[in-house]
Amino acid sequence: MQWHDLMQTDESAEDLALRTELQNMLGMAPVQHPHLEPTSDAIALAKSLHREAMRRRHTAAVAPIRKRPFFMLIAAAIPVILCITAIGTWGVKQKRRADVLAAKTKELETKQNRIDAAREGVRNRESQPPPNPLESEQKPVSPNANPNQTPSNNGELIKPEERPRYLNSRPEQHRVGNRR
Amino acid sequence: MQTVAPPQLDFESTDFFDAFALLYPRLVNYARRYGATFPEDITQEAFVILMQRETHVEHPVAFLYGTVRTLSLTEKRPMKNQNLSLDAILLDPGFASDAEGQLLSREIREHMRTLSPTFREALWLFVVEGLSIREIAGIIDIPEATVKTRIFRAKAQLREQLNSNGGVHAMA
Repeated sequence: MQWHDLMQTDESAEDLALRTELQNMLGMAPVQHPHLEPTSDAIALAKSLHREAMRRRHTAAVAPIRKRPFFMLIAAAIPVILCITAIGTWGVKQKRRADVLAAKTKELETKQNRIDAAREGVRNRESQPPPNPLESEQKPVSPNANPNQTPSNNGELIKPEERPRYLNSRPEQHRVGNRR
Repeated sequence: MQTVAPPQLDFESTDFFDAFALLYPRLVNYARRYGATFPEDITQEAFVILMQRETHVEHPVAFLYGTVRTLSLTEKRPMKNQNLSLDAILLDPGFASDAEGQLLSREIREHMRTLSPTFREALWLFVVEGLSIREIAGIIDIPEATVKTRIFRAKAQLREQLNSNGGVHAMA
């Protein structure tokens, strides 16, 4: 299709008459658009506009992908998300393992301490000298004996005399045994 | 039944360069009419969008006008939810292009400004830009019958105003 054909308007005689009538009414001379020879500037401008149009048409071919930035963003984020999830899972697993190992170590340590304490006790007992049997016979241990009290009655039993209460005197001691 | 793909437009032929030289200033003016701050940028963008299309464009001229119109309105409406009406743009005398000043007398311009923006837009494209009803329908994205209705209503309103002013169209 040529531009020359497009510039020709195929109007009905009725429309042409209407236009002429309106032009007369408005006091206009019939508008004659002068045929201008395209200048070199005009041609250069037309060519540059055409180049721009071609560039945009090429860009438009890529545009459908750019029109969906959300999906592109998700697609780009998937590897990152997978990577983070994998690292997170690995980290959680490692932490659990570390917790189990720490509990085991603590248990072993407690056990070892107990064994050490038992050994220490045994060693202490072994390192003490054994008790002298003679000394133990010479000094019988009396649970009620008062070490500060010295016997004054030479082994005799003394019964305190019963005295009337009105006598404010010191009770006399009567010998119970070995009366002479 | 085999469908034949319509031929693609050739953007590197001499015909296209001729059409470019003719359409470019008209489209720049059209963008300026909509109050575009950078009408040339908008026109160039419209050409790039046309060239970029891989599907067949049945009315490239209408497509260019429509794209320029949309881009100009979008430029005036930086925030999408800001409801800037066509009235606010087309009724502002500051947005009237130089071309309008050259083509129409001051009185006629005043009369045109009293028209509804939708009528004025259709009238402008039909009378000044010389576009066909079908092309205008493609640009504004309305049925051809609606375009015709708008033009006829614009004509009726203009005639009424001119008659009430004592037949000002003696200039015709």
